[in-house]
Amino acid sequence: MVNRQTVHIRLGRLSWWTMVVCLLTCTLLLGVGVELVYAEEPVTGEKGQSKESSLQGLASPDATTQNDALKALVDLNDIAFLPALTALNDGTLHVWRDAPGSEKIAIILRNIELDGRETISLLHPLTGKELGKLNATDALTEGQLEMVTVRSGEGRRVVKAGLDRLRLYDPDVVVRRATAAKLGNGGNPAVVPLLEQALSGESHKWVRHDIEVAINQLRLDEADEEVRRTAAIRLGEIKGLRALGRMKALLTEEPIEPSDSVKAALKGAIESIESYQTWQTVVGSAFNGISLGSVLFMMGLGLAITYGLMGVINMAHGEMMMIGAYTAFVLQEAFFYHLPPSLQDSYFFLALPASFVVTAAFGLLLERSIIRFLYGRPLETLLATWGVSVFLEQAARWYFGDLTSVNPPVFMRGGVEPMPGLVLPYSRIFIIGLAVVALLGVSLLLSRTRMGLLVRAVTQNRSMSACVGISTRKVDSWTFAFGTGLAGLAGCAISLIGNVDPTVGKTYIVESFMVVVVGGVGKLAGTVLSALGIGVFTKIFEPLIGGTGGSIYAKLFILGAIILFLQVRPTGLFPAKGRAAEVGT
Amino acid sequence: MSNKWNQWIGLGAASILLVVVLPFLNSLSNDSTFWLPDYYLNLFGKYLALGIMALGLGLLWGYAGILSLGQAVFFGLGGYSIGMYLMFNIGAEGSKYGDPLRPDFMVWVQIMELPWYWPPYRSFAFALASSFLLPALCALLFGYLMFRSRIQGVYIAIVTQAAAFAAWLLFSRNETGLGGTNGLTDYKTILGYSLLAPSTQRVLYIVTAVCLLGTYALLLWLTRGKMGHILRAIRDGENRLRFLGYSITGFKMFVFSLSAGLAGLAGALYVPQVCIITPAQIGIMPSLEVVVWVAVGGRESLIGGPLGAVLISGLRSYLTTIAPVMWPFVLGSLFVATVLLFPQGLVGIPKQFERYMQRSGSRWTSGSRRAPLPAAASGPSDHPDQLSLGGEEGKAAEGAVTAGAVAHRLFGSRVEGDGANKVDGGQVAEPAEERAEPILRVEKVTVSFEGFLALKDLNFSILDGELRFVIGPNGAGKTTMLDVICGKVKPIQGKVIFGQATNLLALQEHEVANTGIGRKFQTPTVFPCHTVFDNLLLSLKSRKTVGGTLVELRMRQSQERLLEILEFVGLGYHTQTFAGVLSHGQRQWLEIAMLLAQEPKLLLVDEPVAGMTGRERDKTGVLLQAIAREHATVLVIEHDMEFVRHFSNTVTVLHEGTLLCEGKMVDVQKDPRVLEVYLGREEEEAHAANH
Repeated sequence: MVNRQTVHIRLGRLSWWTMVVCLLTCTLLLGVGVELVYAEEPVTGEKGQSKESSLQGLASPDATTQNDALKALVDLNDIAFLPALTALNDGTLHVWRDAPGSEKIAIILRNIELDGRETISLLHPLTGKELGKLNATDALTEGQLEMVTVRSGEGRRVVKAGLDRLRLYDPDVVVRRATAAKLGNGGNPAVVPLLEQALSGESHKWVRHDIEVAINQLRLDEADEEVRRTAAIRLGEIKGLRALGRMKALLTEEPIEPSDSVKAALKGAIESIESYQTWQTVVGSAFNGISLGSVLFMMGLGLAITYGLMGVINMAHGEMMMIGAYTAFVLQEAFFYHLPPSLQDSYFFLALPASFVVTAAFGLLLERSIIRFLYGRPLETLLATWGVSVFLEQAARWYFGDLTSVNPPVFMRGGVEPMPGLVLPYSRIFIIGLAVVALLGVSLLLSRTRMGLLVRAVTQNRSMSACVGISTRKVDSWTFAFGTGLAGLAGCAISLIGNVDPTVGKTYIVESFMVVVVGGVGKLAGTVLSALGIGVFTKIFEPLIGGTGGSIYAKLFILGAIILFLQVRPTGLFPAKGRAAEVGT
Repeated sequence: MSNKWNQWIGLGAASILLVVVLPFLNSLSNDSTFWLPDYYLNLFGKYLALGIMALGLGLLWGYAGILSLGQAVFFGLGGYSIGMYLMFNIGAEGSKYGDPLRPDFMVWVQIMELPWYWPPYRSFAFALASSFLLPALCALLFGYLMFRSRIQGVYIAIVTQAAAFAAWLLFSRNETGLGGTNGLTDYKTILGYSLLAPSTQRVLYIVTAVCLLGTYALLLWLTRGKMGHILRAIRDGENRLRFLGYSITGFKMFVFSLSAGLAGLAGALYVPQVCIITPAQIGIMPSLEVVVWVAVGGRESLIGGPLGAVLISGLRSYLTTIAPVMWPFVLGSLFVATVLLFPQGLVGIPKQFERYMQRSGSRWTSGSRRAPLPAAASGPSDHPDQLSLGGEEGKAAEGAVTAGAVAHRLFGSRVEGDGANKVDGGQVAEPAEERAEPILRVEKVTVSFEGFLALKDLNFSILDGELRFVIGPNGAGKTTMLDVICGKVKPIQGKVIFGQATNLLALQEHEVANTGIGRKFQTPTVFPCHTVFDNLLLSLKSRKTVGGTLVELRMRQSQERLLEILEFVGLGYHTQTFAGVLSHGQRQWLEIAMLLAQEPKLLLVDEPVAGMTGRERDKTGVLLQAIAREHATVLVIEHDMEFVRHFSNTVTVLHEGTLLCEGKMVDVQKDPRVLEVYLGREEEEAHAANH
């Protein structure tokens, strides 16, 4: 990374520690910022009266009474009733005879206490407050609890319909959208008024979209031709992807849509939606490509730095990424075990700097114990580090097992939806942000700090630097540690979007090398360009090639393209220049 | 000589043991105490097959220095070739689905028709040929792509590893019709004989052992001769070899292809003994295991590879039965330990021990550490001081007489009589009429290094038989001009014509060298791990292609000619010294000798006397004059003005990429332009004097 001959002193010389602290603070702030973006307001329906009496009616042994009570409660459109209805559906709604003559309706929750006892908590069906707690064995034997069951087939239908209807008011956006979709696909025109009612109270952009799609999808089956036509046109306008199947079926399967004008409207809508889908795939693939490129960039950056400086190709780099991922995993486990649920997700703030530091420590150890003895022998270093990687992979498998996963923190779930049907996950956005921070950090580090100056000096002319008094060994150790730490960061990022298992290193190592080979080690820009290029092209070719083997053939294609590219530029996009750069031959 | 005989005897003993004794032990009845169980014979047969693959990599990596991390791909190609043949031989009765046309797995995966690459493998001859030729051809193509673009050391490792990864991905897919991740298995017969019968397995074992020994003998013969020198020279100094006229790409492709073919052969021998081939045997890990075998066994000698293969495979079989979890730990540690502690492998342990004893011995006596010798160095020469200290100028004159006589014999002088009278003063009268032809013309050449013009519209010519000196301050473009002539750097405009009509710009470095232009570089770039004699052997004018070298292997090299050249430059006593041990001045002479061995028409000599003592300088000057006199043209770049003044006739001055002036040294030294360039303007001097 030696792209300047003079050292600019405009910003002043920053100490290395300042830079590192700034880098870590940026990553923390990024995490916090993302959490603040995530904010949702729950939606409530209308309030109703005399809920308690209707509740009591639920427990009635008489089917008709039960059904009436059910309908009354459902018609209230009050989400407060949703837990109770769900409990009734799941079989956890019970009658509790806490004292002779007194009956309460309660939702039960089974617990296992720390000492191993089984207990049952009883929660108020509407407020969720805990009414009492019983020992499991006692409650059942003494007959204090009796499950409330639905007595008739009609009752079950009411329960199901009621669930669908009430879920339109669920605080969770995801549930509301799923319910809207389900109702749209259900083919029952009677729910249209329900949907319209929900629509009028809905504020979230995408739930409104889904409800509208559902409404129009159901209207496609109306008797009135004009209604159908308008619905078809409207679906094309709002890009109702879910209705696509139904619209196509109307044109091809029995009973086929009779009216020509409606058919034309349907065709137009289908075309509009399909072209939108292609566009959506392109954008989605490009985004995925950029996020993959970000991971590859962080991996390739560490490799390029160590190769440019020391001529060392570190085959254990993938395992360093694995170490970073496992650090995140261990931290998550620790937090989950020791902290209450509200604080559990804060493990992530600690995981980022921790992966960096832990992996850098490993890298330092590796350099001090093995690599430093192999200075000037790149092929031997390659082999020795491969041995280390095999060792580390097996160690991870032996200690952690083959199946571990890191759950992303809550604020990382979900994503931004700029267009209907296209979700850009927060986790991937975060990874891109992290890569940008890493890029800025490294380039500032190299160009503005004293440490960076030393690194560039040693890369350009090692023997002269030693003569001038620079401790090349120290520079080697710390640079190697830093490069490895970047891989750890990449590993922590990876844990957000995939599983953490011992083979995660091998999955990315070949592509990381390709990034270094294609980008060359002369300039930072080379690594950025090649990482983005490889990531984006891989993800774009995947849907183009299609089929089950799409990703595999895309990878093969990219590998072939790289080999051909090397014909034209064998040392990469930005090779290291100068007579001192003949390392590695 | 005895060493060679020892080797052949050892080979013979091993052959008898492997090919005769072991199968015989296996064929004894099961109750006999000496009976070798089928299981072990089969296992050993597997190891020997893998040994063939290790031999190939030993040649590729140990000799030519090309670390390929994709050998397992070629192994797989060979293995799948035989595997496909064996699949056909299961027949309808032996298979589960009983489909007469397609193997079982195709029925299961619902591949309806046999893909186009399957039917030829019904024939055993085709399968066998393909197991060797298919990997060799693939390697030829892949090698061409890699070596043509001059990809270096570590990058080759990375690219071959990526190729191994890609191959593994491809072979694991079901739609490629090769059995997917399950591979090809369930074989029943080969050439009509059942694969499960011990006698068939015994025969297979014998065939494998014979192949291994045959391959070893072949490679031994190959590397003992010139090919071995060339390969090791490629490892040690590829660029130098290129300038000697060798087509490096061709040699690398050859050795890569040969090792791939051997790996394929190993696969073909392995599969009938193991009765299964899967993508797990192709890919990154298996390729790296081959590298471990060669690294542990020792890559400097051919036997290291098979030795390592047998030992490590044995270790693996043992460990994976008693403690499978431990194997990767052991493997990883082996990698690290070998690289750090035993870089020469098992075969090199005796030497390492010896050197360690030597070093600690010398530590006792002299109290300081000797610098480590080159990897395979033998003792120092007998008369190290002979050249530098001995001889006054009289000796230099004497040297000139012999030099002249030798040069006369070597080059067939155009000038009758000797050159001994013309030694001092360096002014040699050259009949102008005879040498009027310019042998080299550089016309309007401009070279740009990213905007910086190293040469600007340079016009330069040199006459046939001249001894021309080129001088100029640093950065004038002298070395760049030589780079352009030799083909190392391409100008953005201009022409370079050699002889009457040869356009040098259209040729690659080795082609330029083969047209009769030899270059001596600024820093001596001899091959340090070769003896002086072998250095010359490599430079000798001959057909420097792969084919030519293979043909020449059978011929004896003419020693007299080489010894004459060595006498000529004064290294006659050092024929068996390793070039890495020579002094700086001696290396310069060696390089000049290598130049002479090429029988060039034009010598480009870059700073020949840098770092030499006075006497060595004189000797070199006399040498150059002798060469120029006897039918070769010499162009010398120098900074030492005394030397130039003493030996030159015509001098060319370059400055900032253009020709400043030309003429006799005395005239050039008085030229005001030259004075200005070297010494600064007179006004500036006056200025400096005032301050």
